[in-house]
Amino acid sequence: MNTVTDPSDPTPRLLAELAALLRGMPGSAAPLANTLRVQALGHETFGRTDALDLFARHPMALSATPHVLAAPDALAVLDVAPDGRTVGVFADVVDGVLARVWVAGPVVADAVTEPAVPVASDDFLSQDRTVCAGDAQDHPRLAALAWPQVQASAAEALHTLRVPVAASSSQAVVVRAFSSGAAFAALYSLRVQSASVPRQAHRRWALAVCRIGADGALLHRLLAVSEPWPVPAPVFF
Amino acid sequence: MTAALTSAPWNQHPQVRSPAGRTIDELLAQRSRQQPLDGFDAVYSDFVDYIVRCTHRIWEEKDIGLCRTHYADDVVMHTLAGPSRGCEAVVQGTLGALAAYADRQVVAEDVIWSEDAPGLFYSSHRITSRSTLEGSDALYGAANGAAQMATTVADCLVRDNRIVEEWLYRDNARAALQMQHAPRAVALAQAQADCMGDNTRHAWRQQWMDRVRSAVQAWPETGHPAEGPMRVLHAAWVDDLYGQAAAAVSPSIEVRWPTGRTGWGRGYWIGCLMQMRAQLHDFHFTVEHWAARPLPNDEVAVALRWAACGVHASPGAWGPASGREILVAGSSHYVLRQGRIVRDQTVFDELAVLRQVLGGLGADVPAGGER
Repeated sequence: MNTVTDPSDPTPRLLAELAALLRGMPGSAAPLANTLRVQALGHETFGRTDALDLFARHPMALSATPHVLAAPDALAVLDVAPDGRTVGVFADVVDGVLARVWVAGPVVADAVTEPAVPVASDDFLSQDRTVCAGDAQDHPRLAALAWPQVQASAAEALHTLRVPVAASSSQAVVVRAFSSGAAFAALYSLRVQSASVPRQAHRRWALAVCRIGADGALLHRLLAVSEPWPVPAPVFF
Repeated sequence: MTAALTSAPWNQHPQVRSPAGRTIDELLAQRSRQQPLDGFDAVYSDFVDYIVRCTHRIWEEKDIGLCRTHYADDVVMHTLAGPSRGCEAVVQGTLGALAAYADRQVVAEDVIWSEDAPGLFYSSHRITSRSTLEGSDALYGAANGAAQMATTVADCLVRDNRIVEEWLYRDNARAALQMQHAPRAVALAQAQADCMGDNTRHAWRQQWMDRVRSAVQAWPETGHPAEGPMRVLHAAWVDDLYGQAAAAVSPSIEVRWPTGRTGWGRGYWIGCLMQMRAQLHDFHFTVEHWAARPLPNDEVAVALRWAACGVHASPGAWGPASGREILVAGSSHYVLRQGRIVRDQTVFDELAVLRQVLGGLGADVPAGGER
């Protein structure tokens, strides 16, 4: 994992800004994107005002020494919360500004997902039961050597769930992935199917930060998986 | 309504940046003129600034009268609930909205624009607006403190500082749910009102469907980023080749469609497209306008304004088959990375679709149809 010491590196500033956001405090050095979208704590917010309101109600504190991985357009943070749980935070960065944030961590009691029209979805087209949906082509900052471990980390994220899931019907979608030296970060959207009938699905977020060797072998993996997000109430017209 | 006859390259004036990822301070900072804008007020540095700043001035600074210098006197604003005509209708509508929802924030998510002829600009402005019902709303009643967070795409044709034609698509079924109203009940009340009075006021809908049915699709020039998404939509909605269409989008695609539909992956994307198509027989579809602009981090934004129509002959998300002809008009904003679609945000007014399903907006009423 990177420890940032270069004074020209924007990462410490972005990290401080992210920490301020998570505490529900507007920062000063690197203001937030007006279009900031946050998916955290079981809530999705849009706009910096609502994001700050969310974290003001449910502040999250980063420790003094989180694991940080940075790219010019992204920031990945893995940290251990005071209760011992691993929490992952991933941010899109646009011109040095935090533009979108995901938190793979706890879900708060007042979490709510907007109602939605249900959509029938074949997540395994052509009976391709791959557990990890994604394509390295869509992640130009990811080293090609890292892709197998991005896929393996997706499988591990699903495997670590301590709930009965339908292994053949749960899937991780690679939302973001980038490399930094020998390390990489990958953000996943997990669609988790229950093993019971009738089937019920819920969504989680996962963040993996890994280090690989020159041959692509996994040397170290840190993984944060969110609690289950609320399932949207179905809208039937 | 014709397809773009783009006279300028899609990526001209790269210094004119998308609002995506920018701070409010940066968006509102005064800048010198960044591109030629003959006939535009000096306060605007570029065309994106014109769209974002005039929206801010009208809605957030509450200078609604600026509509009179930013809309043509005879402007036509098209929505799926029918057109409105004239600048004073825009003024009155804005006043009414702000009287009910005074704290409305209109956050510009993106402005995807083109210069379709010298001095004739076209913008596809995606906005997510946050507001609280603290006044009285004609549709949703008295102040109840409920908050709306609905996405709108406003496509504007602009010349000499004035919007001369606008297409406005809003996720109104989502807004109804946020206001704690059942969309079908709202749509039914609207449909019942539509059935009273002179039906010729709904003629616009039939005319629009006639145009869709007879449209010969124009296509962007080779190399234009909009060509890929247009071919993808045609593969799905014209040829019913959903698998081939999905093969051209990212397996990680993020999908945001009206009324809360949010998901990831090709399967979910197919599901959204197929859900609409499956209900409408004798389906016709055309792209009415396209535009593209560079985004930060080497991505490209594409805007397609489209319209579709068909006979609601199969049951589905909109309820039992009504047998009525249905018009759907909307806008899809795509994000392309490495030339492939990684995000689809589609907006159409599903409340107005339901209103047609229930016999409103001049939809034909078949024997035994629900009213």
